[in-house]
Amino acid sequence: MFITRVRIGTSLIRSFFIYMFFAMIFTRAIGQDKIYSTQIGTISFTSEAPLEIITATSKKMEGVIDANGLIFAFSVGIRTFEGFNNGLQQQHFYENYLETDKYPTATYSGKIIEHIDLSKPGSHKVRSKGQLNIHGRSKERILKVELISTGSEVKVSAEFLVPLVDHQIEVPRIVNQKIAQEINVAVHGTLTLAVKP
Amino acid sequence: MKIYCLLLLVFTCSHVFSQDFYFRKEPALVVEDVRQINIIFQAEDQMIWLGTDKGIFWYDGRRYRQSPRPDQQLVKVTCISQSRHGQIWAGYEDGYLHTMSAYGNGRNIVADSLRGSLISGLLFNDADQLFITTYGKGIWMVDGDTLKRVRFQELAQIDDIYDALFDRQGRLWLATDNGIWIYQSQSPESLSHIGQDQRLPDEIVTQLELSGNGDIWIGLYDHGLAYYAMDRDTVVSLKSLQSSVGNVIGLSKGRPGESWMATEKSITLYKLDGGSKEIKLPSEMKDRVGSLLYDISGNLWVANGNKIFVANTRFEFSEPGISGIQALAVSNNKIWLGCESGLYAMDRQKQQVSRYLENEKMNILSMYSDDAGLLWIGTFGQGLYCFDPRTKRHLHLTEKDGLSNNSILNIDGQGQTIWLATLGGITEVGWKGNPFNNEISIIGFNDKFDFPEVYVYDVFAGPDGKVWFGTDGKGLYVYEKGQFRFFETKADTIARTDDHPKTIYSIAAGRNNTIWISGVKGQILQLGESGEILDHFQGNQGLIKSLVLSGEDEMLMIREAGIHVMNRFGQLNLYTESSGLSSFTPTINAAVQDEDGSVWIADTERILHYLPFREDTNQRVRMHLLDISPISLLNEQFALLKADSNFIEVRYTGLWYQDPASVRYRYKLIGHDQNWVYTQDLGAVYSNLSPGQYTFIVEGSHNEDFSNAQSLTRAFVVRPPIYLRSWFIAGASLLLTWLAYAYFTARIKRINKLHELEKEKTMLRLHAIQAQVNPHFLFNSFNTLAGIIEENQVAAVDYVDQLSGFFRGVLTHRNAELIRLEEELEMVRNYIYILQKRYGTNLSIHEEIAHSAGWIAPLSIQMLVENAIKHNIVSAEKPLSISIVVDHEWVTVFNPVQPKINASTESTGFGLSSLVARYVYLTRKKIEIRQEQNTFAVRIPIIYNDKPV
Repeated sequence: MFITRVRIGTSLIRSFFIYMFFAMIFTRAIGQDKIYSTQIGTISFTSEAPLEIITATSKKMEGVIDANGLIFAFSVGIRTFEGFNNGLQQQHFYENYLETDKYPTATYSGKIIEHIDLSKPGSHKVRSKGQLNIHGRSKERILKVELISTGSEVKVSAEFLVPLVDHQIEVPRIVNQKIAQEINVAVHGTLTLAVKP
Repeated sequence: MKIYCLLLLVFTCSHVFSQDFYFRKEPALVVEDVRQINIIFQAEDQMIWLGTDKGIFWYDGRRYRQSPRPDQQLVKVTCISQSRHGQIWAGYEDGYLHTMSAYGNGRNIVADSLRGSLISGLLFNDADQLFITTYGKGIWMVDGDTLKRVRFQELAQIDDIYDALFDRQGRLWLATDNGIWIYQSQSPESLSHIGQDQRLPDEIVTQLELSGNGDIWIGLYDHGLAYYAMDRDTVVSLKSLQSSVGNVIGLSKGRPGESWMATEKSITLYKLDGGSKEIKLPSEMKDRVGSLLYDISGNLWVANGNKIFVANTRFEFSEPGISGIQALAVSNNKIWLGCESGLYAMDRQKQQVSRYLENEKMNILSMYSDDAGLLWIGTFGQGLYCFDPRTKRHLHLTEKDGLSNNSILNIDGQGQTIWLATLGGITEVGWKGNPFNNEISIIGFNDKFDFPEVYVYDVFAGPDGKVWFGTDGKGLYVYEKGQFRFFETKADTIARTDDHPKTIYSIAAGRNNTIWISGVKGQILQLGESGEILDHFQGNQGLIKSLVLSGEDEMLMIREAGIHVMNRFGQLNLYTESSGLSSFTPTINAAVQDEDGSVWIADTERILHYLPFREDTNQRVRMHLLDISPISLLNEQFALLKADSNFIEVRYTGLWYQDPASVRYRYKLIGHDQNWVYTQDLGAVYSNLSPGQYTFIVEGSHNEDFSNAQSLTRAFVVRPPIYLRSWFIAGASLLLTWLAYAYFTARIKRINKLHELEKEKTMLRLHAIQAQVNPHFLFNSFNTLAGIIEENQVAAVDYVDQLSGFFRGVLTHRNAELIRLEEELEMVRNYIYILQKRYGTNLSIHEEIAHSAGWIAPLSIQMLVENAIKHNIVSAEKPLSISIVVDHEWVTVFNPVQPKINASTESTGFGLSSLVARYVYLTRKKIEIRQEQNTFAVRIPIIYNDKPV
């Protein structure tokens, strides 16, 4: 009942990176570095509206998973999305709907609920719980993720829906038939264990 | 075409059916201006509270009212709870919490530290201590006036709590992302965990619900429902219909061993003994399911968007897809349906309908399943069939075999005997062992007992061995131990003789060897062993189609208008369309009790399944006081009302969620009303009540029977106005008497004083006259006059003038109370002139007159001069000098004291004292008399303002 709740005023992503900084120093000191990261993850979305199907993809998704605390953070610049059906559409997407001038990135950060050990090879279907921040509005989400670990690499894949209303993304009525109220999002990435210096 | 027919046949032969609840359409509750109802909560007093995205509401079945938050914010309610003292508490999405009642707001808890976190649970332990669980800030405890976070062991790290409850042992269960944590707050403080290691199917636990026996139902994020059994200390995962049911958003315990579970899109009933059943939701439910509640009366509440739908879970409906159902029997987990077109059975496990005896052309009117599982089938015109479901064999008996009639309206039996109620009398059929192998005996009651060939509508084999027959126009017959006789009902207790049933449609057993019969006019009688009428219902809602007992000793009276259920306490419940029974046309005597105590009832096209509710101990309307004026009556019994607030206004409501529209009220103000006032209104007003003692009583009933109704009473006294109270009357009369007494005594005193004054005045006047006509004075005056005449005639004339002037003054002023000072002085001068003529130089008068304004008593100075001469020696050796001094305030007359040796005999001493007494009434100043060594002085005050008119 309480899952779809907006948590206001959190800057988890920032605090997460601060945490990561200390965690890295700490874990390096004791030699238990278990942080997986990527900067070239793929994220794509599809809007299936009655009159138009829009697809766009970014290959510049950044992400980190700390296998010790099972916490994670992912981030993508909105302006790195490419695709769309035409340039005007892309411009509207950037400027009108997602207001990239004000909110340049979308983030998702939180923790993994299931207690898994990513350092051992294996495939896990887990649930991640965290704050999904798009268009400057945060929403707590529990998203299902598949993690395939080889020990040194973790493949992440997930698909989920983003209702526009959750993030106060307003679409003019005139294009209502062209943009869906719920957007399909797919994420794929391979995170590698940070190499010890 | 053949294939098509075959397909159709296959289709009709194995028709799938489902058993559904009926969500009543009207009145569906719609909370205006609200987007989502996310909590339905029933308080101990049965009131329903609704938590919405815009605050909390209560709902009495007719209308809803908001209980506004003290700060007037419209915020999503995230939990509703009730303290041990019965107060309702609400927690909100923004960390706010407050208490309230239906009458108004209670207090709010200032909990700044919770701000920004969602309140997910408000829990009270046995000591009524409050624990607050939040989603975002963990668990908090109210300790005295302080709120502190519980940081025992892992609880310090657990921020997100979805739900919580206290178990029977007083331990706090917390639903979290990391399984269930069980916290014992009483020392020794302890914490335990239930997670995947304890076979919890899902780490994310979103809902917890305490079951009736103390076990816990567990709602999971992805894996439906689990159950924790306290005695076995294990978690049982319950089978769900789908692999992933979705997030459990609500749990509500149902009957023992059952729980209702809501996800956003479905409602499922889980049974511990296996099986679950998804409830078909009405098509009107277009939004997400927000919450559900199985209330204590067995109603299922479902919140969908801003609407509430209520289903009556006592009746399940199924539509077997057959029409013309006329008879019903239950055996071997099958519901046998006798139809115009033949025999069908509903298989409850497979949920399929199949046809039997397809080759026999049967119009089935009645059925009976005997102890051995054989099905006896009575038809219209085609005689009797016996069908063995196991072997699929059947027997066929007709009039040729000895049946009284081929049209069999009803069958009932005991052991290996059955009796047939037919359109032409009664037939008894008996057999030994297996009727398929052995001989069957058929006895017609026409032959054996000379019973006429009349219509017999019902046969009922009672548990005490008696067999009862209800006939058309011939009344009731009983067959017992080989004796067949007319059973006479003692009609004397029925007011109207035409209510006496001659035609009996249906018979059922009552308790203690009594029976119930229903007549052609809809009347229902309970008969004792000797035919006396023990109970009597005059139904005006149409013909009773069947009487049947449930396993809970309830009697169901089935008619088209609805089903009356009389529980073992004699209380009636009516189920109609408005209480969750869809429109319904029952067939006559097509109702039968199942082994589990439930009752199956056939409609022409549908089957109703009545599930008795063991918890129905005392079903009555719960009365609630909503508002009362004057407010002092709210909690007090025997409030005292002032005389000027001699009115009361009461607003009440009766809770009967099963059928809110059926509630009627009656109220009475004892001390004012003679009779009850019957109404559907939710309020009563009385004004201008005269002083006295009153008791207001209001009762509610859903079946117009108020004998067992719960009543709401308020006693109060209207006090008489202050001027009518006895102490005031006594005090006032005492005061009045005293005032009157004081007035009269004062008046008498004054009158007496006036009398005295009058007397004084009279005496003074008398004395003055006496003085003036004092022969001594006259003698002396005339002697003096005689002497003067000789010496000086002019002086003599003058003397006479003075003398007459003096007497004129005396005559003029003697009756006046006061005279002008100047007049008095004039008179005194006349007098002195007379005296000086007599005494010559022996008498000298000194006047010091500063002024002559003001007033003085007449003849007062004269009297003083006279007194001075009277009491003192006036001679050549001792000349007397009298001084008269007039200043602003006083007239002073003084003289040296030279007393005469022989006091004058005329001196009575009256003159001076009388003057003194008169002055007491004339002025506040007193006459001063001073006698010093050699001087006698009298001071008379001059009166300025208070000249009497």
